[in-house]
Amino acid sequence: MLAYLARRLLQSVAVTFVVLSLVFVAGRILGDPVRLVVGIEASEERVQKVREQLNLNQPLGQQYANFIGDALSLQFGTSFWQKVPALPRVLERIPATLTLTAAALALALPLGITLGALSALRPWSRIDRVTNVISLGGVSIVEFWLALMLILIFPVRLGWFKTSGYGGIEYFVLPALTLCYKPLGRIAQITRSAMLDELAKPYVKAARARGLAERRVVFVHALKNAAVPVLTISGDELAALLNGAIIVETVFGWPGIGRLTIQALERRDLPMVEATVFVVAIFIIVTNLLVDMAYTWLNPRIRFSAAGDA
Amino acid sequence: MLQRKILLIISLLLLLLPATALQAQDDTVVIAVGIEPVSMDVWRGFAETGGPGFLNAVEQLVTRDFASGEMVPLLATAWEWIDDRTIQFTLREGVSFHDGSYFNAAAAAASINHTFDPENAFDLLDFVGSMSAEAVGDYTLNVSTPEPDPILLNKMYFVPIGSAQQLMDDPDSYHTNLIGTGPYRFVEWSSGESITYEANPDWWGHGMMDEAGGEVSFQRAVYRFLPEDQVRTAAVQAGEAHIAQYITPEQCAEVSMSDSARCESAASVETIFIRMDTNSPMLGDVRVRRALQLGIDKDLIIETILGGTATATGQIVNDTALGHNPDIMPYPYDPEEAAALLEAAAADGVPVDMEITLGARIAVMPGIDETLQAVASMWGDLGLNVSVEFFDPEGFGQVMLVNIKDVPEDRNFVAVHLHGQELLDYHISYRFYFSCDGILSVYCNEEAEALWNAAEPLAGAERDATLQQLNQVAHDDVASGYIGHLDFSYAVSNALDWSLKLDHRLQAKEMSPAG
Amino acid sequence: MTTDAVTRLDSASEAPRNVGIGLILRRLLRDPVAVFSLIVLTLLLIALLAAGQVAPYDPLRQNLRLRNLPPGTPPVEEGGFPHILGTDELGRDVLSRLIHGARVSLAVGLGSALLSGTAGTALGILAGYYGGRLDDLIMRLVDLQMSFPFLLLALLVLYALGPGFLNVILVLALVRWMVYARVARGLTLAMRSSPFIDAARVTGNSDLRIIRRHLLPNLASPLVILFTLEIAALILGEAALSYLGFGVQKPEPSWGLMIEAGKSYVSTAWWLTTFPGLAIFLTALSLNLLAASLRAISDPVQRERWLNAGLRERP
Repeated sequence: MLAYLARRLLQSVAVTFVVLSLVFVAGRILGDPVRLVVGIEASEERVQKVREQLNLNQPLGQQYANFIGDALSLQFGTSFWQKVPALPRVLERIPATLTLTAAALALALPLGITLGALSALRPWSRIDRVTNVISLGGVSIVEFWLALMLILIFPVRLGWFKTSGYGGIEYFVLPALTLCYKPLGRIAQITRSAMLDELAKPYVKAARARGLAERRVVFVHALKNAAVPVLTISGDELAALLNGAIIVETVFGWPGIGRLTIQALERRDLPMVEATVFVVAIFIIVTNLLVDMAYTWLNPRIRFSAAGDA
Repeated sequence: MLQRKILLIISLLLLLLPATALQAQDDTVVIAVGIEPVSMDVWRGFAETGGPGFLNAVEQLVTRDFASGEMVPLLATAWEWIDDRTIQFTLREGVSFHDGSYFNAAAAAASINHTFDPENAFDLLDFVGSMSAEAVGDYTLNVSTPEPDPILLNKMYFVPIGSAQQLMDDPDSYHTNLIGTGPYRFVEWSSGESITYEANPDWWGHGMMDEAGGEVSFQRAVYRFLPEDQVRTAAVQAGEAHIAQYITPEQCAEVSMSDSARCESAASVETIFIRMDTNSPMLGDVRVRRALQLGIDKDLIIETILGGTATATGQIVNDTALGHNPDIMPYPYDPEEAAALLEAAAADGVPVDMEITLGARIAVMPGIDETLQAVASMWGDLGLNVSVEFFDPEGFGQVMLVNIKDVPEDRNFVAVHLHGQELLDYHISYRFYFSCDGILSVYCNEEAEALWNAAEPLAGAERDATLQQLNQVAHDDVASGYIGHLDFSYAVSNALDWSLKLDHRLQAKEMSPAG
Repeated sequence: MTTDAVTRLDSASEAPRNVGIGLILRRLLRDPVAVFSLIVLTLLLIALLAAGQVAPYDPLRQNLRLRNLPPGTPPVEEGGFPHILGTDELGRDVLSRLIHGARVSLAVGLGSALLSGTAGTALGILAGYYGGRLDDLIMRLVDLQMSFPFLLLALLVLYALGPGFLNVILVLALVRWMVYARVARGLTLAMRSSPFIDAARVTGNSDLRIIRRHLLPNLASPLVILFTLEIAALILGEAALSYLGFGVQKPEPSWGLMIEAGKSYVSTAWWLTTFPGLAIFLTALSLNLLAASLRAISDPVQRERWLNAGLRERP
């Protein structure tokens, strides 16, 4: 296991390196960052001056060497845009996104699995059809629309919760509700489908025949066996929440990393983009590692070998 | 069992509800703005969009009295021209910065020279041009420009003064900590969230009732960043904010119907104009350019899409600017005449069937998508071949930021864009968009260029007259098309006493609780 | 557990019980849900094939005086067709734009879902089945893909290949393949060391045969459901790309773009965003129900329940 973890760690470093290099290259071939920093009516002399200030006048190889050197010591330079060191600014914004994402997943996962399992228990019943409409509604929902509807109904009409902003629970409810609906829908759908597969298997019939409590059959045996796709999709959803968070953060004025990423990209603030990608990459790599480890826990037959065994 | 669990979760959620009763905080004014500032650099206070609430903390030497249109004292109490390049300011005494340092001529000179240092390359340098300052006495300051500049005093309105002590002791904090002399001091910038100011009890202007003074009625002023206009409006409707900056005409109408809030609108310095590649075989013909303008029903666009929040125009500056020509009328809507002009041009071999690319920057103003498509449709009705394209800021920069000499002749690109003429001087607007070497100019006209050069050293009525003449020449040659001068609207809570001024600044010293 | 898997294999390969096509069809037509999804899909097909003939108005014809008319507004012109779903921000008929927009949205949704589904499933099975270095390589590619910002990727493809309709499909497939890859790999991992796969291997079946005969059928149902979920996500994704200058541009309609354009009017003209959103929802719902129904028919155990459930619930 340790050997496996060590190998994953090495690979992750390589992946991070490759991602950062790709972002570096992309940032520099996609238009001139200087022009976005100085604005449209700037004179040529000023453009040159700013180019020097940002070290964008150096040869690309030199810039890349500096970039890698800095990145190795976890430095991403000073933001073009906000003139502050990029990585601390990104880290400062992480808690807002993580708490929101955690809240959304904490709602979506149990509700999604429950709805999915309920559907699977009575396929083609009314409950199944209602949950199907609810969960597919989540899958097709436009988050922007849902967010505005919630704002217009709750704070504006009823005076409940806050329209926007960051703070206590009354600020949390609407963004978390908005953000959880899509993963809830997907998790419910995948749970239903995986549970239907499991419940059709003979061992379920056998267990029932042996007189095991229905609850135990469904929620212990079948659900555990159905968990692999559900877990996979939940890992994906966790990563996607970071993306979904861009819209939710923008609408609710939530000071998270999603909005920071989008602003940094729009302004071609390369150090800030690189720092956000770095942080997101680590987050995703860790999530995927945890999902893989959970596989072996759920299903001991799954083993990850330390060396290639193909 | 499961149902019970769900019920439990729902009732837990419901338990949270009573905790959300609105807590009115009477000592805080909350303003919802659209854009988060890039940094806390003092010079960003020159515009409200780039420096929300900055003028609470930093002040300029002079400000504008919108009743008379005159420049009036702020940190300077008097001034006089000592030669054609230099204004001598007499500064207010007994003023101190929020960091405890004193405001005097040396401090003001250090701040101004830092703002205009070419090494720093701040945007303001491009916007108002170069200047330098020198302390010639404790409270006597000379500000001069390299060339004679008749509108230097007006430009000083855009130059906020920050702490010289800060520049000396902790220059890095210039980007994150705003230190000035104003009625509120900067407390905190929460990235992605808000800027907070608190009342400055030591402010020099307490109780002064002219333009310079004001009333510090709130303990705190919070400027929250909410990018979505609908959410800004909702924040005012729900009583969470007092002012929502820049809302759409639809939202304005909706707010006006409520008891708790109102909508305030005022003309801005922004003009919606239509820039045409005048070097293409098609748009190089003045008849075609005129036909395009006659083919746009500006009044209809303004009345419907823009909800009446614009004034149709035929020139790039509004009537507060030097060089505004009151005789220039908007190009009328006359599709028959337009068709006739196109036919005449076609008869002379002008390729009127070239494809026109009609482009704009995403979200440059509310309703830009609709406006662009409406113009395309009206031109389509003239039988022209038009395609619509929207650009992100980077892409738009690439198509917009070219001089006519570098534009391929077959590009045939038309942009609908905003021009902000904050300096209220047609000479400057002309330089950007119409002069032969202008960095954004796709137009070049020798006759007009000569008038433009002639106006440069002039001041006062003479400058006005020459610029008006220039304006007429450009209008007759259809150097550019126009839709209108844009108004900006705000949702304002009825719990707040505040009236919008033409500068569109959101200064807490002009606000107080209602009643 | 071990015997379960073997019996599961047996039941899957068991010859279908004698249920005639006629019975299934009759049963389908009696199931209101199935009928509903068939109707929706038929309407979509009509919109795809004959948008110009069935749409009451020209989807591009503006009338600024008729902006944002609510649904059900009677025709303004003599003998015109009522604006059943209202008019949009430029006075264009919403229903007509929905009908015309179906083509782009469905092509993008189905095209990119098929492309990403095929590629992702293949890579996921390879990774899960062979494990080791190949698994590492493919899964690190997934990490890479998930870490790279979508906007930057889209801009890169736009820069390299230029704008265009097919490139929209390509970008979206490039962004979503890893969803299938991860699900397929997870399931393959769980199954690869199960006795029935071992048994198949011992009896000398080739890897390809094992994958095709024994793995794929067991992966099919989650992947098909995933496919129907992805369609909705991809139709919405198309709007984001159009916004960046890919694919269709305003004033041409697509469902995603219609939602995008209606965003400023959510509080004042809800129909601009709600109807295209509903169209996406109904498409996903019908495909999902259809997939579930077909699966129920093809799976003997489920078929039993499905047939019975239908009979029980019949009014």
